This record gives sequence, structure tokens and C-alpha cells, in this order.
Amino acid sequence: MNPSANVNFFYQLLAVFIKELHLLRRDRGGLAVLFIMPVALVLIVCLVQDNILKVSGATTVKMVLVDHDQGTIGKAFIEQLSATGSFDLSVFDQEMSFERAKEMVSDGVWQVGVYLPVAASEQLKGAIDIQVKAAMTAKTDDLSAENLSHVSMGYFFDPAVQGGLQAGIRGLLTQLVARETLKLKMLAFQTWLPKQIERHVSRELGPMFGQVLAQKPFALHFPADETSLFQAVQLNAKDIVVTPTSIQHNVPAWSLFGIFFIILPLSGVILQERDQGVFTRLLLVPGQQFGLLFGRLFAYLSLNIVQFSLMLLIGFFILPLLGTDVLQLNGKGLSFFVVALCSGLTACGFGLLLGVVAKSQQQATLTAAVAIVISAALGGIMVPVYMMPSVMQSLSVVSPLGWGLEAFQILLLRGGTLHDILPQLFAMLLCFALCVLVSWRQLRYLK
Amino acid sequence: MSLQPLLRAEALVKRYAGMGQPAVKSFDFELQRGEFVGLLGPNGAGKTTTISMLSTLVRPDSGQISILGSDAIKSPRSVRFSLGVVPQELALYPTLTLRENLTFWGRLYGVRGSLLKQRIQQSSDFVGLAEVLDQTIATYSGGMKRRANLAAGILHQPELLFLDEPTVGIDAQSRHQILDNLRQLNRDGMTMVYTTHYMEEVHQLCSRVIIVDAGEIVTQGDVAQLLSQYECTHLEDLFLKLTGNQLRD
Repeated sequence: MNPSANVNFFYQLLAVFIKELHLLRRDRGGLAVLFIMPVALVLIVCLVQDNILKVSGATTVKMVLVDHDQGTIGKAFIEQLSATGSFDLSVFDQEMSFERAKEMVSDGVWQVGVYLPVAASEQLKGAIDIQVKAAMTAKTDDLSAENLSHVSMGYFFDPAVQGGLQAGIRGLLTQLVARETLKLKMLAFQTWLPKQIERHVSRELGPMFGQVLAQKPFALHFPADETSLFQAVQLNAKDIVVTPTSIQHNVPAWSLFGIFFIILPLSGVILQERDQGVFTRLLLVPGQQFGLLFGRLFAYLSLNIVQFSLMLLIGFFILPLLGTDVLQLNGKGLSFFVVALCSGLTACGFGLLLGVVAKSQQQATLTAAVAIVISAALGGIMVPVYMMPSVMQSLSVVSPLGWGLEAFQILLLRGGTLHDILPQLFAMLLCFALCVLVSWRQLRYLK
Repeated sequence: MSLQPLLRAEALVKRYAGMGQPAVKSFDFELQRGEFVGLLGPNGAGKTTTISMLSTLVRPDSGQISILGSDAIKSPRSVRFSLGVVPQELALYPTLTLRENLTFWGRLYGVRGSLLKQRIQQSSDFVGLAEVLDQTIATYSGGMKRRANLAAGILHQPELLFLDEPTVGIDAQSRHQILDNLRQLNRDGMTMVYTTHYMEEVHQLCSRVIIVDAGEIVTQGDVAQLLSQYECTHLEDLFLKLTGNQLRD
């Protein structure tokens, strides 16, 4: 059979695909950039930021409660703080001094400390009883400073704890104090109000009415806290089941970063072909040139997918072994790979463009590295976009890495579907198409 | 009855943007099957542009090229299977082995399966590189690289082979082997167009020589006939007589 009959698109595509894999197999520097660098980055950044998130409160806060009171307030605090699920609570009585607790919190053993002084519950209850009785009898003299003992509960922070977390804990503790005070006031009213009514009726209507009331005493029953009629409940805009942790942000983010480093080996191979005459021979191959282009793209995209899968596996298995949370894809695994594929196409398009436009390997390497780092910075890989100044936020919309990251976040954190990330996917595909178009024109010029 | 030429070029013109003069002006050329034609000219004479147009790499601004009866300008892809090119540069991937390189180029030309294996063995034997088929090109000497380049150009057994200075910068032994290889290929029926600055190579190999200068054919014909016509003893004398002594930088 005449071999010319075998010259077809798919056969040429396969030939290029295999050749590119051989080239990549021998390109140790390129493989290091594609695999070792992103793996190292994702491990280091996840572990580093895991700690940052801990001090910023995105994970469980370590709290110590030094309860020298041993009364009702301590018990109520323990119960209510535990119920939030946000605290890893350590409780000590007299065995831990206030000074020692402060020292240990300053040293970072705990992030926040709460101190309940001796007899705090008893003093508070006494003060409230005086307040309530004074309110019912209008004896304001009883409210003098001598009679009312003001009770203080101290709290202190590890200096590394960020302002936002401090404010949140301060608010929570203030709320707990207010709730406990209110509860004791209700109890005081429950105790003193029926007695006051009985006294008032006897005095105004005669002792006979007072005796009747004594036989059928008036009782107040306030509902427990659990039956509160008005509660603040956190609602999710969508079906969100994943908490934004260091892992949820960094694994997809640095995977994208790694995907874009495919630009380096891809542009490198094209420049090598241009330098060494292979390009001339490729242009003289029979059949359509599309087979050559797509074979190359498929090879690099396959590598991107392998790379991306490896990063996800690190998020699933390796990082949890190092003490972080497990990566959760929220059932969006397939959509994740669609985003990775589109990001890979954008990266390949840029690599192709750089390969035909750059004048030397050095120029291509430098341009690619600078472009990727700037695009990563603008796209929120390093610092979330919402934390940037408004000017930078406006600029971030031009970052292909930003499109990819936004798509991942929509899927993972906002409960989005493929339909919700169509704008980002379209932007990436458009960028790829433009790069290929410009490259094609430049190739014709080079020819 | 006259035989149809393998290649016919008529009135080829090529002008590059920003250049005052055309690189090639009204180039007319016919190539019969089995011919071994040497294309000579000083630097910048238009040799590479001419070969690029004839091998369908570059489209001429005007003129006609017919290869095996097909219009090579309108449908270059239809004739490319019959053409082979050995460029001046090493047109191979240095980090791949010769076998991987030849497999790749063979597949692009539709050669596959056992035929591909057979052709790889044949072409590597032919250029004396069968023993080092599985070494990467980067480990080859300059002469071995040139021979590997030739092996890639002939793997699909083209009818017409263009060679652009295939012996530049290599030792006498490798050059000798390449010239022997080319002579053998020509004897086996492969038509060749050969450019070089080594006049003795043309004298040894070519049945016909074309001397070009400033984008035009200065003269062409059988080497012995031209030497006699211009009363020169060596091809180099003839070349200098027709193209002048001034430097072409």
C-alpha cells in the first residue's frame, strides 16, 4: 500500500502526540517545573496558610477557661462555648493561676484565655437580687456602690491573633455575659415578683386577700433559652457544604499556577524547532498542519490533567497526613476537570504564541515566568481578590489564572454548577482561540 | 515524444518585504527524472529562496511550478509526499534518539507498522548509523548528525530530494560517505537538487549545474560542456568568472 494514502489528520496527530511525550520525558527541567514545583508550592503554602487561618479564626480557636469561680457562670460558659463548635476549650480550676494562664496565652499555647474570679457567680447573683428588689420597692438607696459588687470576667488574647478574630470573640463573650445576666435577672424576678405581689395585695386589699394568695401562690415560669422566639441563624445563599479552608483555596489555586507553567516547555520546544530547522521540515509535511498543532496540544493537555490529578491527590491524601483538612470537591469533580482543561488550553495557547513570537529561549522563559507570576498575583492566587485595593480588583479581571480560580471557587464555595461558570470557561476558551489565531498568522509570516 | 519533466518552474519571482530587489527574478527551470542538478551561487544569490519555492515551502509572488504534473502552488500538499528536503540546519530533535526521530518523521509521511521499521533500518544502514539508532542525536558528532539528517529526508523515499548544503562543517570522512550515499540514491532513481559552496562536490556528483546570481540564472548546463564553453579548467574558475570576485556579505 502506498504510504501517502496513510497521511491523515489522526495519524499525524498521534505521531506528534507520541513525539511530544518522548520530548517531555527527556526534559527533566520541564518536568521539575511541571510537577515538583507545584507540588512543593501546594504543600508549603497549604501548611503555612493553615496556621494563618488558625490565627485568623477560620478554623477552631484554642481557648483556655480558668474557672476560679466554680459556680453557675463557668458551667454556663462551658456549655455555650462548646455548643458553638468553634472552640477547642481547655478548662482549669485553682490548679492554674490567672498569671500563668496569661503567660501561656502570650506564648501561643492558646489563642484566647477567659478568667472567672473567685465567687463571681455568687457576687453576680447577689448584685442582681439587690437590683431587682430595688426595682420593685423603689428603694434606690440599695443600689449604692457599697451594696452592689460589680463582677468582672477577664479575657486576654495571644498577640498573634488577628483583629477580626479578637473582635468576634469579644462580641461572643459580651453576649454570653449579657445572656447570663439576663438569666439571673429572670430568676430574681421569678423569686421576688410573686412575693412582692402578695405583699402589695395584703397591704392594699387587706390580710384576707393575702392569705388567699398565700394558699394559691402566684408563680412565674420563663421559658428556657432553647425555646427563644427570636434567634439569629446563619443561612447559606446556596447549597454550600464546604468551609473555605487553606486546602480548599490553595490546592486549586496552586494547581492552576502549575498548569500555566506548561508554557515553559511548550514554548521551549517550538523555539528549539525554529532554531534547529525542524520547523522547516514540519512545514513541508504532507497533509493538514492542524494534526501537528492538535497533537501537540493534546500531549500538553494530557500532561496538565496528570499534573492536576496529582495535585488533587495531594489534597486528598498527603496534606491530611500533615495535619490539614481533607480537600473536598463537593461532588464537583468532573466540573473541576473541565476548568482544569480550559485553563490548560489557555496556557497551551499562550505557550504556542510565545513559541512563535519569542526570539530566544531566554526571552520566552523570562516572559512566561513574569506573565504567570503577575497573572497569579492579579488573579488572587496569592492574596484573595476581595482583599486587594479596588484598582487592583479591576485589573484582576484580565488574569486567566483569576478566571480559573473564580470558576473553582464558584464550584467549591458557592455551590455553583458548570452553568454558573460558563463566563469564566468562555473567557479561557476565547483567550486560547485568540492565541492560536495570532500564532497561526505569525507562523505564516515566519514561513 | 518528449518526456514530461518531473518539475517545471516558469517565471518564478519572489520579493521579500523591505528588500529593494527581488530575491528571485523570472526563474525558469526544468528537471527531468533521475537528474542530479547542482545549484550554485554566491551568498544572497537566491539559492535558498529558489529551493524554498520549488519545495513548496515558500509561495512565489508570481510564476508557475508543476511537480509530477500537479500545480505545486495551488495544491502544495498534494505533491509534498513526493518531495524530500535535507535542510542546512539539523532538522531533528536532539533529545530524541535517531529511531524516535525517524519514527516520528516516517509517521508524518504515512509510513507505519512493519514498513516503518523496515525503512528505519534501511535508511540508518544506508547512512551508517544503524549501530547508534537508539542513541540521542545530541550525543552524535557533527558528521553523524548530518547523516542522520539525510536519513530523515529519504525515509519516505521521495522521488525528488532537495539538499541545502548538506555537508557544511563536517570532516572529510563523513562528507565522503554522504556524497557516496547521494550518488547511490541517484543511481537508484532519486532526482536531486543540490546547493553547496563546495565546487568539487558539484563536479563529482552533478549531471547539470545551474549558476545563479542576484536572483537570476547566469548559466546552466553539463559541467564539462560549460567548462569548455567558458574556457575554464575548474568549476571554481567558471563560477568566479561568471559571478565576479567581489565579496558578498
